[in-house]
Amino acid sequence: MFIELQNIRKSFGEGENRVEVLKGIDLSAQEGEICVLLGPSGSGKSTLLNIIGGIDTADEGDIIVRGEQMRSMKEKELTAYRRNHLGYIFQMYNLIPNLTVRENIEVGGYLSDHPLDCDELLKTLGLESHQDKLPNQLSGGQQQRTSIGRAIIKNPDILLCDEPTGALDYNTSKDILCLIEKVNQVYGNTIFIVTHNEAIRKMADLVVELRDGKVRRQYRNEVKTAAAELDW
Amino acid sequence: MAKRNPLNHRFLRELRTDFGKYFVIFLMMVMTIGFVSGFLVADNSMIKAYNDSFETYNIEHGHFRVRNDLNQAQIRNIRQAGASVYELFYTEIPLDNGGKMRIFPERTEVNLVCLMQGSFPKKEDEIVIDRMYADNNHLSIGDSLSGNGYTWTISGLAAFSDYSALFENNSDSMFDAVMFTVAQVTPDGFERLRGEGVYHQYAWKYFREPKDRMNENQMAEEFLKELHEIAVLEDYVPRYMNQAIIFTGDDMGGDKVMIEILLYIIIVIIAFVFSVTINDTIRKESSVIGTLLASGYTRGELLVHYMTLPMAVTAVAALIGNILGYTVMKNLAAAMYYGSYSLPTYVTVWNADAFVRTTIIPLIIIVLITGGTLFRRLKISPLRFLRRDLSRRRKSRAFYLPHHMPIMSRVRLRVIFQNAGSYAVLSLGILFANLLLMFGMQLPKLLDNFEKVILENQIASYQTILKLPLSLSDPSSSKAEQMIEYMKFQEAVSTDHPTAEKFSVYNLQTPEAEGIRRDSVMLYGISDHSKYVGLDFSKKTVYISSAFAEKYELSTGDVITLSEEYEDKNYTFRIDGIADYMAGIAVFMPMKQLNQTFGYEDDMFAGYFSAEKITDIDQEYVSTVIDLDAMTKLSRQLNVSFGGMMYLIDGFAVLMYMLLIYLLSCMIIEKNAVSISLTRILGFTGQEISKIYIRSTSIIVVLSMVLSIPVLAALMIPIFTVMMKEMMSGWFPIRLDPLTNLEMILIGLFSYGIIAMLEMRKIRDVKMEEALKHVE
Repeated sequence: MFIELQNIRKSFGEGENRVEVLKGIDLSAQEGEICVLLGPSGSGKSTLLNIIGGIDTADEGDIIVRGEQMRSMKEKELTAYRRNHLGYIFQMYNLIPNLTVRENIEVGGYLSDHPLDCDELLKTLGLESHQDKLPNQLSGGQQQRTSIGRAIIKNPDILLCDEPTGALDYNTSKDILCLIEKVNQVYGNTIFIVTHNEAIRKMADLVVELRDGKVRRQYRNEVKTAAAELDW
Repeated sequence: MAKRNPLNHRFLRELRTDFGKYFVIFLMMVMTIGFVSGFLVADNSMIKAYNDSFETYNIEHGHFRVRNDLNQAQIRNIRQAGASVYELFYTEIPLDNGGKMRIFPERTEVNLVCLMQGSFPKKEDEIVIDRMYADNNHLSIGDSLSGNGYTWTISGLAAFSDYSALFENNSDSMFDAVMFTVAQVTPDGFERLRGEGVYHQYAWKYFREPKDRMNENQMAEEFLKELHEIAVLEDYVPRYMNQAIIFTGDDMGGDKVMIEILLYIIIVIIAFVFSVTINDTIRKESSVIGTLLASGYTRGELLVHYMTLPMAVTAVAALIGNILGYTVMKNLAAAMYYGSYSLPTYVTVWNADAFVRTTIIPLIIIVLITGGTLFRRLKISPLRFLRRDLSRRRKSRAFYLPHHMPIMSRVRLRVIFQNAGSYAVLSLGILFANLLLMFGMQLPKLLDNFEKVILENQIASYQTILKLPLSLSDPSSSKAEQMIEYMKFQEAVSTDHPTAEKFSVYNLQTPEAEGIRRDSVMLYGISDHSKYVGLDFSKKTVYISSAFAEKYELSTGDVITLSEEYEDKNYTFRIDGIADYMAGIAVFMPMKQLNQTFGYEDDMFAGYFSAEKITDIDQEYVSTVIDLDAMTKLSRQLNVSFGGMMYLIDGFAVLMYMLLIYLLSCMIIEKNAVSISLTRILGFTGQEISKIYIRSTSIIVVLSMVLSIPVLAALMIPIFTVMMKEMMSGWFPIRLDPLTNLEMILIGLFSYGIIAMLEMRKIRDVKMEEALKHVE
């Protein structure tokens, strides 16, 4: 297995206010798979993604990436893990507001010894003509494209997408999903997509349904639907 | 009942959240307001004590010196001229510690003495000396003082009302409280010193108090005419010209404007810091502001809300600053005055003007600047607040940076431009802190340099100035009498010293000018083929010293008018050249020309230049010996007066510098918290993040520091020039020491290094959740 989650537990608060958000999650994904984490608000999917991304820690359980246990990792090793293996895409894009499109992408590229070609990527993302604009001059879709560019320029093993279409309209959402699919096909990254959009499950290799901090259902799609053909 | 605005609940919470930031601002304000308030209070109280001293201690209207005691007829004539006279005899004793002591018998009628510590002498070997001289020489009550074979026990320390500035001679360019003191002994104690020679000085007081200085001037001129009829004068100094009395009064309050400007500059900087903070808060709370405006809150209510905290911080800081000013800081400022002048004891008086200047005006400055910022920021529509669209232009554009530039350099540049406002305030703060630092560090160097310059270009190691017989300038003496007197004089002052060279000398005054203290100009008549003055008099005949030229901005070809000190008689000279001589305000011309100008015989002389001290002439005819010690009096006294204050200014500058950098860099980090958090999520290491955000600040700090040096150097020379012109007669070269500039940069870098470490901690403290919060 490329990535394996074993009995992940996480709670917030203390005493009477303690809320258990993840109640023992087990799942495993293979290299190059698209894994969709589905569930309603409060099901723990974003928390799980953050733990996979090494920006939050589990109270119990372990994550093993390529045979390497994350639990034993110190802050420095976690930073190296994120640097070498991960790309992050957020619902609200989280672009650096005072950097241009190109510079935002290059900030991602700086972290890799062998980044993808930025000009090529800008072309692929359809951002070539917007490369010298600031984020506040872009539409939501363009901002999300930039965010994808920043995540994939370092060609990460794992791409974590937290509600990547949550703030976008139907057409733009489909564009973004197509782009993610294309990235997966071209670069072979393992992609985790957190979403509450039921339709997106169809483009996944692995679907994990979460509810109330537990895995409600986990299955693999025998036949995947192309992102362009999704409808909701 | 008036409704309380529920938004008010936020104040304490915001104060708690941003405690560090508000505390730093508060600290800066308390320090500044406390210092300025203390200074103004002490200044005002001291000035009152000084002004009151004229009446309290019955200070003379002037004094004159004659060779022998006045007889009863002469005293009667003086009374008829409109004044009463009082004996103010004294003797002078060279002290074993190298100083000089002017000893008076007990004073009971005029120029009374304010005893500050101990008691007046009761025995003939007991003595009261000047408090400041004692401080400067680490003398205290019970210590012994000896000179010329006499020993005294110090019974008390006092302020002599006619020596608030310890000028040994009225023509001295600066007083000297290190090597000169006045003292008082019992009448018996004075009698035993009679053998040392007594100077017959008399103080006078007019029966009718002069109305103003102009009137005092007229009265003094008329009185002088009368005195000329009554006695042969050796010295005549009306009070308004007596530096020992008036220098202090003229100088006190002179620094007030400078100190106030210091306060207002700091308050303006703090107001801009508040503005940056407010901008930051508005950016952070834009959706909240939009919601409140949409809900019906008025802009005025929000303006008041956001201004309350800065105003409250300023008001509390002003209050505490004033309390500190009246209690602790006042003593600091008073100590500075007591370190410079021999002032009597003072009583703290309430100073309404100081309150307005340190409390009301700072509050107005804060209201205007922060209010203006807020007013401008709150002008946009609620919808734009809700959309977080705060830029004045609808969409801000990125300026172009070449793509081939390394990405980290571009990011740093963007951070700099994004925070241009904060960095502008930071640069301004650094410029001002460096101005203080440069002032504090360069002044002592200037003084050291002055001593070096004097040593390098003094005319001779010794200049022995002789006292000419008064009959030579007395028009009532016959030619024959003058001749005999001159021959006697020549015999008494002839020397066999191989290095001695005759010169003639005459003292004139520079004319009165606004903002410049009047100078005594020494006119030297130089012998032909002088070994000491290498000026070519074959074509040019009148040279002025480079110090004279520099102070009065004179050059070759200019015409100068100099006047007699006590007469309405002017002399005009055309400058033929500038002599490289920085040690004094002087004019050089051939001896014959000088003698002719002032009506003396061609071969008349009034002194010797020599490489060693001349000892084989009658000391009765020696007026003064100018050696290195006498010439460095000015720098020595300035060092004593300002030395402590300079360290205070240096410390204050460094502290302000550090606080300001800390404050603004923290704001920049806070402003970029989401970006910092995001870069951490992306996998940037702490070091890499620091490289982006701290290096941006470092670039600005270092650039501001380095660029401020030439700007300040250009400013500092005129500042020093104006200051020196106002506060001293004489001159010293104003040359800034480049090494000190380097030291300033090093101090700056060291201070910034400490702040940078704190910044790194602050960056480390930015949690990754910051970025995630924005995802929700």
